[in-house]
Amino acid sequence: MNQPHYEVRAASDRLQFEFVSEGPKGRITKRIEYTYIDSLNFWNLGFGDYNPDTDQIDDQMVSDNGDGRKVLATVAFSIQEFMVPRPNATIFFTGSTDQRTQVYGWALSKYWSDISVDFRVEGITEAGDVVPFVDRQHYLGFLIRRK
Amino acid sequence: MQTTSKPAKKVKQPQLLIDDTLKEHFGPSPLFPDKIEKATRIMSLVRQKQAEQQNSVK
Repeated sequence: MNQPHYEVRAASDRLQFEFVSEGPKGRITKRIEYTYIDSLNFWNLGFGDYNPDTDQIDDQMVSDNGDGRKVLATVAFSIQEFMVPRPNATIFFTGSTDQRTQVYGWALSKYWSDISVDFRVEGITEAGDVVPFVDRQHYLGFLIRRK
Repeated sequence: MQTTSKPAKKVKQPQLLIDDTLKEHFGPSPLFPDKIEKATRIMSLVRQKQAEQQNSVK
């Protein structure tokens, strides 16, 4: 993706990432973590806001900081970096709610021309089938692989 | 007449900063246990479906 992204810090194994979103609602720390699920051979992508006051992560909040495109580009950048030592990895991601998953689907559609350059994206149907991602379909989650 | 096209304008992007203190900040447990549980549930369904499809081909 050639969209502008935020500066990102990462652990050297590229499993944990952190960046700061800047917008009308101030500075919001975002954290990304990739977790391998050995028994099913995939990586889960977790993403949420870090609240320094409570030392908790919130992956249900919509921070609405006016920088959605830049945040998405930063998550995509983390995927690229994650895949440097793991070029054949399969990444799964979903929303915390059905509605949130649909928002992610909408974001994938909106930035498809950027995303599809580097990544192959598939959707998971209610029946558990893995199908090429198509706009405005209902999916349980998404799979991403490097092209 | 030959024409030359301009290459797509490249955005200068910030580099990745490696910082292993993140490991301490994130802690030893996964940050997104609920999401992992949900992912495991969905991917179990996917793998089950794939296994059924493979078996039906054999």
